Order: sequence, then structure tokens, then C-alpha cells
Amino acid sequence: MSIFMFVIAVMTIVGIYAMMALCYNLTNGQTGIVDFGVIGWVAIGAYTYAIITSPDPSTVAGAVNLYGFHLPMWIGLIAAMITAAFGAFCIGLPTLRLRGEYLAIGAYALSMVITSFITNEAWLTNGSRGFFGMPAPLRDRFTSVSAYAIFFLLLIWAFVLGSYFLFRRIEKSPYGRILRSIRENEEVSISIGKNVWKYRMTAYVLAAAILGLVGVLYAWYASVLVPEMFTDIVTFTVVICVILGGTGNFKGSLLGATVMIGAQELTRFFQANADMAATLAATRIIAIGILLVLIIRFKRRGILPEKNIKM
Amino acid sequence: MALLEIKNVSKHFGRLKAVSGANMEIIKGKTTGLIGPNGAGKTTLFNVVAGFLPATEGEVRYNGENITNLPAYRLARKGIVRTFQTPHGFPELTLMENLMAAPKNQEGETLWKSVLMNPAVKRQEKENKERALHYLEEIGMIDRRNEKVGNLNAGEARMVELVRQLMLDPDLLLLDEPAAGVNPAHQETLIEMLNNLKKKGITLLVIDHNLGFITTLSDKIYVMHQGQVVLEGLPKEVISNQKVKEIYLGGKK
Ligand SMILES: Nc1ncnc2c1ncn2[C@@H]1O[C@H](COP(=O)(O)OP(=O)(O)OP(=O)(O)O)[C@@H](O)[C@H]1O
Ligand SMILES: [Mg+2]
Repeated sequence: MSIFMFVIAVMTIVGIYAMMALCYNLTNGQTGIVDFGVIGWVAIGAYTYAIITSPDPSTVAGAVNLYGFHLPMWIGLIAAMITAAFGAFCIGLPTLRLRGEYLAIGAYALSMVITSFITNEAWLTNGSRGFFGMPAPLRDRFTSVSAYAIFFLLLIWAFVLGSYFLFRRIEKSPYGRILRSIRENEEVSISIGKNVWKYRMTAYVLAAAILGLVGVLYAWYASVLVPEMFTDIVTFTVVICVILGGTGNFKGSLLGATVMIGAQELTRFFQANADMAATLAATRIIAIGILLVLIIRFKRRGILPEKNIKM
Repeated sequence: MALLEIKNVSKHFGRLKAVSGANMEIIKGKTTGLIGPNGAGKTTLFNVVAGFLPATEGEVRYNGENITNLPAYRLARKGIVRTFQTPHGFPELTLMENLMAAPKNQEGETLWKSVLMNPAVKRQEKENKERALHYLEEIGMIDRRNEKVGNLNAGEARMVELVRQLMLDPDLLLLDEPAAGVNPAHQETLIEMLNNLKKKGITLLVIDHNLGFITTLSDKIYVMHQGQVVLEGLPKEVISNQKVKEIYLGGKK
């Protein structure tokens, strides 16, 4: 693989992480919700999309799942967003009224349940074999692999930037101001007549819907869906991207994902032999740990700290 | 006419009867003082009236409507606005953002309208901004409008808290020790502002330990002691009352 193509591939996966980081930054950075269930909404989106768009499984050799509706991609995409949003609504109902830790634990537990569900409920998800050979959008319009890779990169980043500008708009709006006031002090927010629960819920559901969309992008990118793709490691990587870039700063999330995922993927260069790979994997985790300690010690508010809106 | 009626309200924390059987009538457009030694239950009574704590028993009526145990945010929207004994605000947000968060029924308060940012939202933002600037001018902090509230000292934070709550256009304002920690220059501003509020017909219920401050401000004073309302009367009567003197001298730790 040429360096150029490698960089294209890295920037694509950076985009996917950047979008998850933006979502986490809306719920955590702006609203103060601690949601360790990020990957759960991505998984729900990805599998919903797969079930809606895949061909009837009885036509696929070895498939044990029962449903595949073979509907157009855009229907799958919308369904993915709605399902993830609905999931977030349901988990938010009991937990968003409580203090932060309950949601953090509740959402984390839910994402674990989802991972185990997609592994075990093969009638719906085809279990550990999952979905494969999933088409990416407009693939047939391109003859060259590299031309499509560039197109796909642009497509992903169009979604990333779309989310970025949406969130920036929210940040500057009266609604965003109230989200931050809730983050800063719940009791005082109540004293100014704000229904705290409603604000948390809308922000949480919006983030989940967009995470559901990330699930679709992930399915396009990977062309397969297997349970191993949806582990809590993704959630914690996203959390680190946000802390690194600057909690509360959306530009920081784009930067954090670029630095974090860029560094992670570029070190794969050295994974030439199997011995090196194992060492490198361990080193990488240690490096991430050291990086986190350094940020917390020297740059607590991240590379790009949150900026106040001046008036 | 009584704007607020507190009828036999109690609030117990386990075995501690922080408020027991309190009765009060807060007259519309008047300023009512609430005094009493530390731990008398004044703040607790505020918390119950403003919906921040459920009443153990009793009833609170506002404009004749039973509002006991309604959620606090709804009471704030109905016009019952309170300040806190320890002002916090939103520390990481600027003075302007603190004030601009407060107005009720903001056009851009909902997610969808905020995303659309239609002209109505922008117009209202502009109005609210002007009001906020006006208030900051009044308390002499307009130059600090883009500073974080977390940087203010306690007295300054208290003044900002007051004007933030005024952004809600309250009908009944519950002030918990509004003058505590406020420097003398600001105290004058504060008294002037409270007098203006009175002129505008806003009903005030004020807790304070400074008897001079509270007697000049109030039309009527209630005295609480050990959870009970022990006395009510005109300011003159109350401060010269023998029982009040005893409570204050004997009640101080
Ligand atoms: N949330 C709570 N849980 C348990 N006890 C409480 C709580 N809030 C207040 N108390 C107790 O209730 C009693 C009344 O407290 P409160 O704060 O209402 O007094 P106060 O009259 O406002 O006093 P101060 O003048 O010191 O502000 C005190 O003994 C206090 O310790
Ligand atoms: Mg008190």
C-alpha cells in the first residue's frame, strides 16, 4: 500500500472517531453528562442499518440470522439514527434524573449488554460471523479503488463537518447556553426555571442519533460487522480524544481525534512481524496512559481549552 | 391581598424539625423580612416555598393556587424566584452568559429553534443582551462582562446572582441574605435596587441577619426560632420586642 493510500485510510478512521468525539463532547463537554456507553449507540446504529439493508439471509450461505430487508441505504441510515435515539431515550428515562454517576454506569452496562447481545443473539445479528460484504455508497460508480477511497474520505468528512457545524450552532444558541449552565450548576439552573431533565434528554438523544449514524459510516468503512468491533475500548478511546483535544471545545475534539487516532494508526507501520505487534500493542497502551497523565498534570483543559463566548 | 400563603408548613430532616408549623402571609407589593438566629429554619422554609425541598406537611398557596411541592423550575416560571444563601452561579461561564441563561420563555430555548436560529431568536437575544448589559451597568460590573463568574469574590457573586434572577422578571423574589459579604459601595447599590423593585410592585421576602438593613427595608417582619414562627409585626415593634432580644442574645452560638 502506498503512503498516500495509507494516509487516506488513516484520515478516514480519524473522521469516524472525530464524529464520535463530537458527540461525547456535546453530552459531556457541554451538558456534563458522563456517558460511557458511546459504542452502544454506534452498535445499535450499525446493526439496525445492516438488518434493514442486507439481502434476505436465506440467500446467504451459512447465515443463521432471520431478517434482512434489502431496503435502500438511506432508509437504513434513518432507521439507524431513530433506533439509537430511541434507545438513548429509554435509558435516559430512568437515569438522566439522577446524578451523573448513575448514567455513566447505566450506559456502560447497557453497552456491555449490547455487545453480548450481538454476539449471542445470532437469529438477529448472525452472531460472531456477523454481516459481511456490505456495500459502500456509490461504490459502483468508481472503477479505481484509490479514487473511491478519496471519495469515501470526503464523504465521511462531510458528515463530520456537518455534525461539527450543527454542534457549533447549538453551542452558540440559547439552548447551548442552558446546557452549559446545567453542567455548571444543576440547582441554579433549576432556580432559573429550566427543566434540567428535558435539556439533558434532548442533548443525549441527539448525540445518540448521530452516534447511530456513525454506526452506518463504520459499516460502510469496514464492509463487515462483527461483535469485536464494538467493545468498550472504542468508548474509552473517544473519551481520551475529547480530554486530549479539550473538553467543551468542538474544534478540540477534531484535533484530539486526529492526534490520538493518527498516532495510533501510524505506529502500525512498525508492526512488521508478529513479535513486534504484541510488544507494540502493549507499548501503545502504556503510551496512552502516560499521555493521559501528562495532560491531566500539565494541560488539564486539553490542547484547545473551552473558550467562553464573548459578548 | 396575600400573594403567598404559608399554611402550617413543616419540614423535618429525620428527627430534626427544621421548620414546624410555620404560618405566614406575604402581601403583594410589600417587602417582608424574615429574621432569626442561625439554624432557625429560614433557609429551609425558602427551600420548601421555592420547591427545592418537599414539605413534610402543610400547604403553600400562591395567588390562591396550591403550589405545594410543585417542581422548583415550574415555580420559577410562575414568578417565584429565589437566590441562594451561598451564591454559586455558573462558575465557568461569563457574567453575560450567566445573566443571559436566565430569561424565561427564550425563543431559542428548545433544540430545534436553536438550530434554526430564526429571526425571532436573534431579536430576543439582542433584547436580552441589552437588559443584561443594563443590569451589569447598574451593579458597576459592565467592564467585567466577559470574565468568568468563578473569578468573582463572594460579595460580587451575590450581586451577579441578584441581577441574574432579575432577568427572570420575578413577581415574588426570595432573597437569602442578599447583603452578606457585599462591600459597602455595593450595599448602597443593593438597597437602591431593592427600593426600585419595591416601587415596581415586586413582592420581596428577605432573610438577613443585619437588623438595621432589614428594618429599613421591610414593611413587616417575621421572626423564626427553632423552626417556629415566634413573632410577626412592624419592624419597629419587632426590634424592640423583649423576646427577640432574648432569642438573639441567647440564640447566638
Ligand atoms: N438538607 C438538610 N439536611 C439535614 N438538615 C438540614 C438540611 N438543611 C438544613 N438542615 C438543618 O435544619 C436546621 C435549619 O437550617 P436552616 O439552614 O434553615 O437555618 P437558617 O435559619 O437559614 O440559618 P442561618 O441563619 O445560619 O442561615 C439546621 O439545624 C440545619 O442544620
Ligand atoms: Mg440560612
